[in-house]
Amino acid sequence: MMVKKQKKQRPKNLDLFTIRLPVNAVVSILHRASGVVLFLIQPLLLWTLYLSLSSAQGYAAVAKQFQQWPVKLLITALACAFFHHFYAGIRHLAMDVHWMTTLQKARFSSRVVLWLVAVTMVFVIWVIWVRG
Amino acid sequence: MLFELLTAKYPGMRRWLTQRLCALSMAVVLLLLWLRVMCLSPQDYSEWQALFAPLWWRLLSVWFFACMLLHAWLGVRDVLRDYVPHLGIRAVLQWLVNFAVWGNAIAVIWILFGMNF
Repeated sequence: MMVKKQKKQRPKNLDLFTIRLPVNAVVSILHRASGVVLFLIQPLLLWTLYLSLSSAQGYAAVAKQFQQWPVKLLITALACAFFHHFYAGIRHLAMDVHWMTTLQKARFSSRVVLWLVAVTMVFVIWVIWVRG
Repeated sequence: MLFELLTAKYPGMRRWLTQRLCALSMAVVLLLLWLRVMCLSPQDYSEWQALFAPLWWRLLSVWFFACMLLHAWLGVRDVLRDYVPHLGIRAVLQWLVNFAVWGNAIAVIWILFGMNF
């Protein structure tokens, strides 16, 4: 009787606004998401490479596009996806060889990845938006 | 045991290792490609062309794209297996992904070796 009551009163939390993923899970899922984004954008990047190499006019057209702010915004977002995938990928490779696999160290390396992405993005934003 | 894991008996193990080796290879090659772009820092079309002129550069680029496509194919394959439980829908999506990967591979070869620039 007592046990049954306790079971019923056990707190449930399925509120998505209060459930928080641990930082290592965030880094892991973003690695997957950024990988999918980079895969989907591949044809566009290859088309840009083709156009820039095809002729002087094509090169000029690509250079002109790179001055447009929506294109700059897209490049900034893709840079963010790329650098996250790159740094988090190195972290996963390190874990594959059993380096930094305890929970505490995994949390620490996740924070390192996020900070590296942030610092790199400051530089990328400076190159794309300030220096032009 | 370690070598047995890499035989055809354990295809998943092989795919896992292939994806990691491609990742490692891409990281190294990308650093080389980036260093040369930084050193030459092309400013116009002729300099951009000159960057892609050497055969070793094109071969290295093809190697990079080959690793990238294989790595991406394995990754997207895992994503589809994790999130698309319906086998029919998954088969269609996988077919589309395979089509895109082969299309990209042909495009890469054509851009780097098929164009006269």
